[in-house]
Amino acid sequence: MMNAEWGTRSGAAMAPVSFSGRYRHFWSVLVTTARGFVARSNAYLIDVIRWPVFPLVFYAAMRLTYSVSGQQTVAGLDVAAFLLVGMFAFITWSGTIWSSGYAIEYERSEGTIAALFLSPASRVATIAGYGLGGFVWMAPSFVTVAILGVATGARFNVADPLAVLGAILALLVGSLATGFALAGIFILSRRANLLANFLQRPGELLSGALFPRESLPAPLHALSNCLPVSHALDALRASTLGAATLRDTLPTIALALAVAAVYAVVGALSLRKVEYAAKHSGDLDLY
Amino acid sequence: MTTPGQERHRQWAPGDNAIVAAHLRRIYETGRRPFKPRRQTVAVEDVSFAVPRGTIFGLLGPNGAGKTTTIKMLSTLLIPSGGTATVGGFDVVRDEGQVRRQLGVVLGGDRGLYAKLSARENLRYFGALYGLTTATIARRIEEVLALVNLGDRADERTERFSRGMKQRLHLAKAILHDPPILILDEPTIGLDPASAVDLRRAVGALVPDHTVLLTTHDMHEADQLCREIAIVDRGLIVAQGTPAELKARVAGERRVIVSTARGLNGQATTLHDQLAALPGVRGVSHELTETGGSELTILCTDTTATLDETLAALRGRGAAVSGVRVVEPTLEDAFLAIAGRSFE
Repeated sequence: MMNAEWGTRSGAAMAPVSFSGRYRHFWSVLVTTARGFVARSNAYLIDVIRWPVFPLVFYAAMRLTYSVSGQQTVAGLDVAAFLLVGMFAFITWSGTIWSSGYAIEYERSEGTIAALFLSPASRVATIAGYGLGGFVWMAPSFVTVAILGVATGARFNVADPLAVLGAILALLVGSLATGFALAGIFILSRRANLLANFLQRPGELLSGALFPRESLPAPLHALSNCLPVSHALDALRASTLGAATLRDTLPTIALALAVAAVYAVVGALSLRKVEYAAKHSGDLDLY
Repeated sequence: MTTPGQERHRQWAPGDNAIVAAHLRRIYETGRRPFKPRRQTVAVEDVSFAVPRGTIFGLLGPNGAGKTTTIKMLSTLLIPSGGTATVGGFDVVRDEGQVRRQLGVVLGGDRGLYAKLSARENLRYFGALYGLTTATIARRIEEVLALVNLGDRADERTERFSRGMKQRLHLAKAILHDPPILILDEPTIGLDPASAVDLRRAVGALVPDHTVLLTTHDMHEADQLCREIAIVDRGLIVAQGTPAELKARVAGERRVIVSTARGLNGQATTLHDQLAALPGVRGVSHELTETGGSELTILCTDTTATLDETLAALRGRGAAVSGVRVVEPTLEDAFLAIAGRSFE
């Protein structure tokens, strides 16, 4: 152990260290990563300002677009409320793709990727922690958009709060699973920033956040069905605007979770493979 | 109850090795693009060594020798192209999870810490990554910060830390989970002399409870800290032994250093070849000084004869000698004798 010349170690022997069990370790990594992500994001003033403002501007622009076109309803629903729920999905999607999907790239740009990969922590927990942190980080965006939506006349029709909760959970899980699947790809790329940008906009287009998915051309609609977020958003709109009950939305929520599970499995399999590939090629910790 | 931490610090017998590398080899492939020929760069040719438990073992060599690549393979960041290695008895490829639990690693440089988080927040995060319980993390953070003299800066963001403070925090991070084996990659690089002395003292105090594998290109550091040293050059171990053993290889030799007031104006190569061919000369190096002069270092057995020949050779080239020194052999001389060239 250290001697007394350097540092202020007491003469008493140090107590042995204690380690958590497997599941506790997973949970601890997830929560600490989320907390760390929020703390680091909070350190940048421009991020604190831009994230609540950006969706707000986006919402306002879409609201005006519908207004100029003379549409007061869309797919039989009030435009303001339709957009408000869509923006909720839009924000969740943005938050997770830029956190969980981008987790490895964050570590690479911070110069901490080697430290992370030297640890025995679960990569899944780390990426999920980033996603959770991104979701929490976007909370002010939800609030500002909700305030504007209500102020501009959004009307809700909720019959079953559990149905709303189930849809929100499906939306979160679906977004996290998508980010998780992308995280593996990003390990191999040192252009994850561009890749994330490239994938973000089609995701927003296909998920039906800003207009009904039914209006998409058939091939794009089919692609839209491959996104878990699309189904979760369908369930969320039905439960918040169409008075659907949990019984009504359960099949859609189940579909969203099933598609999310596929993404999660793809993510888990690819993550291990790409980590091996990156270690094999020797560019894991390069930036 | 025995904790996993105590299990990792299990009793060991004398002669038990914490790290064993056997014929490690690493090749990097570049130009992996369609229609472009692949090029291979051999970073580590063939490296074998064993680190006894409870000791500090040094990998000594110039920049680009293959030291960092070797420790990346040992710490599971790189997959070897050939050979095998075990850390704490676990194979670095097959049992990488077990290897990571045994290890604390300090990778040199400014990076590896979250700049926007405080020292305490960084350690809390890394404690969670290593699976420490919440109570252990809280206790260990206080202990390791006190050990590295950062207790009073614990809540400052690391972006405000000096290079020396960051290196000390890297060490705190590496020992946070009390690993039995530590790998330190150039831990004092870029530090001011006082910080380097502090850090070396800390590293020296880690044994015998821990095993330390240290890479360095600082001869003095290796000499001071390591019980055994492997000299790495161009991806190969060219010599291995205790510092005393390595220096004994040049025991009968002296280092003759001849300074000239001006540079040798393109004559350095011919002079080098002439001096290297002299009887009893084991190595010659030449470098330019900051004042625009030259400094020739000749490792030789016959000081008087070599000095006479050197001075004559310099006079023959019209070079004005400004100083002559004869010094006892060091590890640097050992490297010069073994590799036939200077360290830098």
